[in-house]
Amino acid sequence: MRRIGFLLPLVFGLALAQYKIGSHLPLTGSLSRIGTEMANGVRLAVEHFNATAPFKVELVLLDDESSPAKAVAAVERLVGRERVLGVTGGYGSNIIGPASEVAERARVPYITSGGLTRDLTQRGFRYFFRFTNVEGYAVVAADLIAQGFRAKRVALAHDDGAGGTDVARAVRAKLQALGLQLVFDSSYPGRSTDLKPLLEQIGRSGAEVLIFIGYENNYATALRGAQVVRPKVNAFVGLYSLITPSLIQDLGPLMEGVYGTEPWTNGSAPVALRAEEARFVRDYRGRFGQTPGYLAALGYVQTQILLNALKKAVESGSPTPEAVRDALATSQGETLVSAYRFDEKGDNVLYRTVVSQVQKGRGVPVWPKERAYGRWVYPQVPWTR
Amino acid sequence: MMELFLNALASGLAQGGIYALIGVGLALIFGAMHVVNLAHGEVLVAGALLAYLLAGAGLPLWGAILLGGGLGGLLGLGLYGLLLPVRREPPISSMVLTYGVALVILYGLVEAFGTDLRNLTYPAWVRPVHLGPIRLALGEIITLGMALLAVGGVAWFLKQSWPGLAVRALTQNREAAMALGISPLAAEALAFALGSALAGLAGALLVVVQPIAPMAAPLFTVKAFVVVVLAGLTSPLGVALAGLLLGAVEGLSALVNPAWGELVAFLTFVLMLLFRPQGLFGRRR
Repeated sequence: MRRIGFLLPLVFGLALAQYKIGSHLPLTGSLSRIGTEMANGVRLAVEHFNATAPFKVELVLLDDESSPAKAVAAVERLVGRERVLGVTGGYGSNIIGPASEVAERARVPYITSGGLTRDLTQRGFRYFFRFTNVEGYAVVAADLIAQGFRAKRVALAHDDGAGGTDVARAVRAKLQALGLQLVFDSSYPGRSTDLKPLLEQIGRSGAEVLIFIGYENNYATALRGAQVVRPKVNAFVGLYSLITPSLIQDLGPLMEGVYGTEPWTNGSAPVALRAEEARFVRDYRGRFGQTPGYLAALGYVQTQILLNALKKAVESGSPTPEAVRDALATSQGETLVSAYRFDEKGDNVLYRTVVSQVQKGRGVPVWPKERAYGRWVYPQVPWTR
Repeated sequence: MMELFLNALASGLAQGGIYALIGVGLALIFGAMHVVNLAHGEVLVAGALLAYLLAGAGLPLWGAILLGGGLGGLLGLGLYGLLLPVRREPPISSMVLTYGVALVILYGLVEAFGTDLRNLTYPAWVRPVHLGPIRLALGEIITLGMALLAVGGVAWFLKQSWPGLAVRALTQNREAAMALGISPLAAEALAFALGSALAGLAGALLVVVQPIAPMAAPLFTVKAFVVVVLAGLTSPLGVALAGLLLGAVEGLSALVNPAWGELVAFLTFVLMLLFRPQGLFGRRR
């Protein structure tokens, strides 16, 4: 009885305890659509956590308007006045870079999935963790080409921005490791309005598969140009931002059959987590009246990982940012987006996207096999070969 | 290799049609008012977005394209109205004002439409057309044809109609034109509306052949400026030729290296300023 009496205040205290985590995202301004979707994922993760955890967590969400200065000010407030135990969020490498520096100085863990630039994890930071990285895109696409399509000759075209160059570097390394022959390799200006000359050259290179890296405008330009040039390749694989609702709507039949990597799409979670995925989608729709996209899923899982680390820290009796950081550094597991385990630089070495193919106007996850929802069609391109 | 060359040249010329339209528009405005309209690209994007909206809502494409041009004309008239109070100030005042208006239009469009790219896809317009060894999308041929038609129409209008002659007279000798009883206000307003309508039309045509986002507006202003500098202050046909030339240079440079298109275009611009400031077809004053 005395023992129970001793435990009661502890249990009661845990139930009432309020711990804070912080987040900064572009809720207004040009990236508000992206920021709001990600923020909704963050909010839902906190709500799901609070529904089952023995203590409550409060989320302090700030708008950084996708401005580096405002993001820095937001994190200063989060780690200063709000005294949060961890920060989840940030979108864009140019924002995450300076914002995470503030968290690093304050020794508060910062977890993100909003920036792919290699430099972010090359700074020797101890409190920085990134769920996503370019390798996660390159590995699955190269595996599909080598093991799924069993193709040998690949063409690579990428935009000349930092992101495109980084992803291309990762793709090159992976293709080389798999013994694939890179028969065409070129960058193009991200603002290019005519990619037909590039496609002409790709068509003549003898490539079986074209890996195309760019943003939405580049994909639209390339796929329109391909209707005219009709390069002789068996598949068009876009590395990111290809299979998006706006492109599918705008380009319609010009997208049919293309492949694109996606961090997550409804139905792409590992089989063991399909029930959790269904709950995420159902609750997201109920709470925000929209279907979640991959941005919402990324916001959700990165916050889940932070909250699980926070829970470990609380349970160990030391709810400090340092303890949360240590729990993050040693944590690993599976989420509805990807598996995770952080290396000494804070990068997720297990991060993998899924490859979807546009079939009858919608993206169907087809690779890797354990996360596939349908079967790929190969060869297939949206133009007559 | 020759096939690659011809295809790159043809694609460049198709893009040059758009440059011709915006170049002629900017030259008209500058000729009549000696104002560099820094909102020219924003007017183009506004025309593009209106055409996108109207065509998306079910309006026939041709109607949407023409209304895009019409919006350009209206915006031009509005801009002219704003410029009236500073007409007698040094040219820098007008430039600053058009820059301010450009920012208002740009961020207004971003607020209303977001930064996403917009693109109308009509399968018929994307269909390839074979002209010997050259392959072009039907939309590119239509765009080039319409651009040349519009430029020809403007040239005819300036040469054959009274209001057009008034604009030309004002461009050539303001004082003499006024002494002949030409109203500078009406002629300037006409030039501004017509020049901006060409930009709106260029945007409306562009959104059917390539993706366009509001943030691309300043680049189109710069491209129009490059075309005018290349041509020199000359007839609309001279400016149109410079536009086609710029497109061809971009297209062919991209053949050597896709990243060189704009580099070579802007390098040509700098060289022209240094060694032939009167432009390719202009006369030294």
